[in-house]
Amino acid sequence: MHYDDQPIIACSTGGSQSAAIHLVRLSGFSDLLSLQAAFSGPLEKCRPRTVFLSDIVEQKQVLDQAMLIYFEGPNSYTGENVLELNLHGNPLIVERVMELFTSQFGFRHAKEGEFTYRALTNGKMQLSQVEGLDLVLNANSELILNQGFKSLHGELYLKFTELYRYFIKLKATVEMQIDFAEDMGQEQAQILMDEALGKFENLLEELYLKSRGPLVDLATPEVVIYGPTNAGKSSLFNQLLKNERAIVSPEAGTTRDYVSENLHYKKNRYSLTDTAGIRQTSNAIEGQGIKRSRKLWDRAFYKLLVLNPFEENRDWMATEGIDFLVLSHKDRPEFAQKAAIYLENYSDIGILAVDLKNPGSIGPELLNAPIEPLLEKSLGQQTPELDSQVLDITYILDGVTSKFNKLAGENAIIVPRHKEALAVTWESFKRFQRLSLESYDIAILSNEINSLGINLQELIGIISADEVLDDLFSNFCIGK
Amino acid sequence: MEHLNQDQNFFDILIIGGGHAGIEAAHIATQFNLRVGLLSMPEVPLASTPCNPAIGGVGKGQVVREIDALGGLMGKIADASGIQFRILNESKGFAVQSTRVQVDKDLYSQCATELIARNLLISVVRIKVDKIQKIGDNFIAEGSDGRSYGGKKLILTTGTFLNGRTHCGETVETGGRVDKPSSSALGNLFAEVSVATHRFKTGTPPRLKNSSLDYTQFVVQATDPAAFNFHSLNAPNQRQQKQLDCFLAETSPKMMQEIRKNKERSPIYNGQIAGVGPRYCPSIEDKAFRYPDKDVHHVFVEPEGHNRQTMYPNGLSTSLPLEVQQKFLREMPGFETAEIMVPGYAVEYDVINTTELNLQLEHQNVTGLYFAGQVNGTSGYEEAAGQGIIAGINAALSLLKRAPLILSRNDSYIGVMIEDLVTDLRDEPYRLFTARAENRLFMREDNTINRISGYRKSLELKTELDDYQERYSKQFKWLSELCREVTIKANPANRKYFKEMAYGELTSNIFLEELLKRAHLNPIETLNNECLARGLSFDPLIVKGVAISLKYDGYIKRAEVQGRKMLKLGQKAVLWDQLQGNKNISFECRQRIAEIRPETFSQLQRIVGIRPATLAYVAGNLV
Repeated sequence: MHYDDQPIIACSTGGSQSAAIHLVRLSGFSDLLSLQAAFSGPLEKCRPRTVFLSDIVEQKQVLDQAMLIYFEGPNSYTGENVLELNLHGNPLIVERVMELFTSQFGFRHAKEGEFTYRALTNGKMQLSQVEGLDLVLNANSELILNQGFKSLHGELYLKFTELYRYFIKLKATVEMQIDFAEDMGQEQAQILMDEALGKFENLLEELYLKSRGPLVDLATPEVVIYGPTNAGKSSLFNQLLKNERAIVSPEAGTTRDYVSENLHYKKNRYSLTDTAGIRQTSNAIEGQGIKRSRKLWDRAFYKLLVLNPFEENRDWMATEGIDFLVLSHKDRPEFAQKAAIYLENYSDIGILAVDLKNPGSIGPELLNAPIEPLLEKSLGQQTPELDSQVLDITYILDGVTSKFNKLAGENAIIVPRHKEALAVTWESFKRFQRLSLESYDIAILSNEINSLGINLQELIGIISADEVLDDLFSNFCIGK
Repeated sequence: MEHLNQDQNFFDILIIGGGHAGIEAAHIATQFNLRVGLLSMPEVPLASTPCNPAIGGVGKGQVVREIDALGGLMGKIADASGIQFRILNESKGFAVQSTRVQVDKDLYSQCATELIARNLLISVVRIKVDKIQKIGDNFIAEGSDGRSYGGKKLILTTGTFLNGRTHCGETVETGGRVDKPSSSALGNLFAEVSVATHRFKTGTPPRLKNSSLDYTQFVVQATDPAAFNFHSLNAPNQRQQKQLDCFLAETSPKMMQEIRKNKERSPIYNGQIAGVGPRYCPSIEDKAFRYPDKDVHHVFVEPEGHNRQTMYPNGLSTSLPLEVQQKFLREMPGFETAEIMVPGYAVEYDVINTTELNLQLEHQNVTGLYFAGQVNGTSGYEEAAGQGIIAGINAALSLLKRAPLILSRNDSYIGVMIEDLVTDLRDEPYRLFTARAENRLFMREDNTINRISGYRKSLELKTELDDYQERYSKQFKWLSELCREVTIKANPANRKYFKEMAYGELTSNIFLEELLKRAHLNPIETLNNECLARGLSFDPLIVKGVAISLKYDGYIKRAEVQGRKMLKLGQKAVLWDQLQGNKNISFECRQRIAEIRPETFSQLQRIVGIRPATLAYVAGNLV
């Protein structure tokens, strides 16, 4: 447990599921007015224990409209200044609001049970109440994994447990080399060490990447259309926005040297970007333009490559990380022969052929037979019903949705505490690796392993002699 | 009673057991000018080394130096009888290096006997104790000769003698090396002092005739002249005995098969021994049965002394019958004609429930009664001696009505060990590993005096040792400051010098400290060079200590910051006697608290079965 008085924030309603509302609770800030920059409404008018309506804003962008209730300390649950925010029940909104307060207002995510802990230390709670909570939660001091962790889906649970096992092995290997050096040759020790390190690193990296990439993207998932000039990018862009099932936001998208629009589809909001807007006239600027579109492409959540099979596309085909390939000019003769080479090269991604004879006005069509199973595979959905004989472009949008749901679903590491801990653990591991390259001093390495262990315990909530109190409070639900 | 008080058989402190714990306790108590009676078994030499002939080792070397810095005997005796010195983990970094000394077993006991005999405040009585009683505030021990011995404090360091039984194949004898003493010897104290539910077991290998082995088949391990003596007042590299070699041998598949064939005859595997042996020190039977796929294990062949004909095959501890021992031994390369002088055997014994002790090693139900050494469930001479000196100091301090001495687990291995012992029970003999210490980078051999001199000073004994430690601390501080303040200018002369010394580049002015921290340099050699270059001469102990301390400085500080948050709460004192009557705490928790009697919050945390709500309540009331 951190025994600091830093302000803390947590979503009291869990926050990882969609719901009607989510309640975010902030405690320990010095003064309500110090939070003014996050609200559009004048906070001096916000009276304690009354409901106050305001937008939550981040640099003029509205994150959500919220109902606020302010409890002035000591007349609050924790005995400190407390602010409760009733937000709309979208996990992404909760995520972004919490991030606003942690990144710009000096809050940190509360540890499990920290609100209760503060209430206890501030004399706001009697022991009998804690004892009662304890019984209700059936807490057990030998509990290995905390509640927040258990509530996660099975696969991730197993992965974390596995990571802990690999860590124990790694630590044991190091300890063995110190305390039992004589029983083991240097060579054998090195083999054991390499093995332990390798296993731990592979799994940690997998988890770290899971916690990192998608989540940043999932807050504002970007769908980027990329490809050579005149391949048909803008036509596809317009098609996607025009589709009757997709609603184009009334507010204007960010327009710089590329065109971007907000697109709502099946309850999610995406930003759709057409890199065609990047001008490629003079050589110098062309370089800049390509650089910029590359950057957009790299951070994109969903990557659409548009190619005209009648052109030389060898360089473009080397592009990595494509989610979906669109082949244009289906209307031209010999399209099937030209397209065949792409079918071979992109056997694992969805391909859609479009007829762009009249750009912007003609509906897309599915390339014939061989592509159906590919589509199925990539979109993770049933083979489309072919009653209309013509499939529409919403299949691209379904592909986007499918990927989003997959990443935001059970496999993503979206519990902020885990995200934080994974980032710190990863950093700590990298430091350990650097050190192990430059030093043979096992004492220093073991020291590094120990700090790695401390970070890891944060992550998986394993009880240690030093952090038993954390464990105690980890048996209480966060924010309660 | 009254007549006994006048009697010369009544002492300030009575100690039962003349092993490593007993002699340390006796010696240190006399430093406070107290009279000590040391009752020791007839025919067992003082401070005998019945198992392996070595003092020190990883973690244990630190303990020996801690004992030495507190004013104990072990380092002095080991130096005087050392026939081989080695630095373990030499290639693995300074913080994990430890000294181990092979000792001449006869010389070791002889040296201990002389030190004790010369001490006029210690009366050694050779007697077997039949019964102990507490009468009023005093303790009375009745010897088998019918005489009584008394003391105001009693320290029990009885080793494996509590209900001990030895096993060698099917032959079982009562006694922890000798016959008959049992827990009934605790007399009327038996009701107050509980014994752990598990019996412990330990074993020892057969001793072999040194001329019967073929040393050409072994790898020679020679003594290391660079290793420092244990005792700080001895010249670091001066040896008092002629040095001998040790040897490295290996087991063979045929030998392991022979052992596996005789599973039914092994007391450990046929149920004859119920005691739990240490996992870190497995018998050869354990190795054979637990690792059926591994046939090649290391065996260290160690001399037991200049005048002994025996070699100690370290790694071959066994309780198989003699003829089986003989048979499997001869299947080992180099052991084809090996002759057994003393067969290997196992000992089973009771240990007391150490959670009933406090951090001074005093029993919580019997004021004035202290326990130290193997009877507390530890293994190893060093662990025993470390407890002995703490029990001796605290018995003395208590008698003088002074504040107790408690070593912290953050600056000493003795502190780690005692806190571990009193906090919870283990199901195997306790041995110190460096892994048990949270603060390993700091708890090194080279800075022992820095870590311990404060404790030693608080005893106010003012001997030669105290003068030395004060001089040491002053010089240490002086040299450390010098390293932090001396600048090496990046001028052509220094650049040339750096090149000559292979110090690396010198692109800008640096402090001497920064040079010492360069990864490719040995900080001790470098600091030695730089001292010489400036015409400075320091005690080699200080040069080593300063160089290594500076090297680890940054790492230790970082670890401290990490640990501080956790330590802050953990170090807070817990009033267990108030908690055990507190109705806000559940009945089961109060029971556990009354049993274990935690003195700090971290101890409370480590007790198995303490409920979260209890911790919350206690923490809430501490913060």
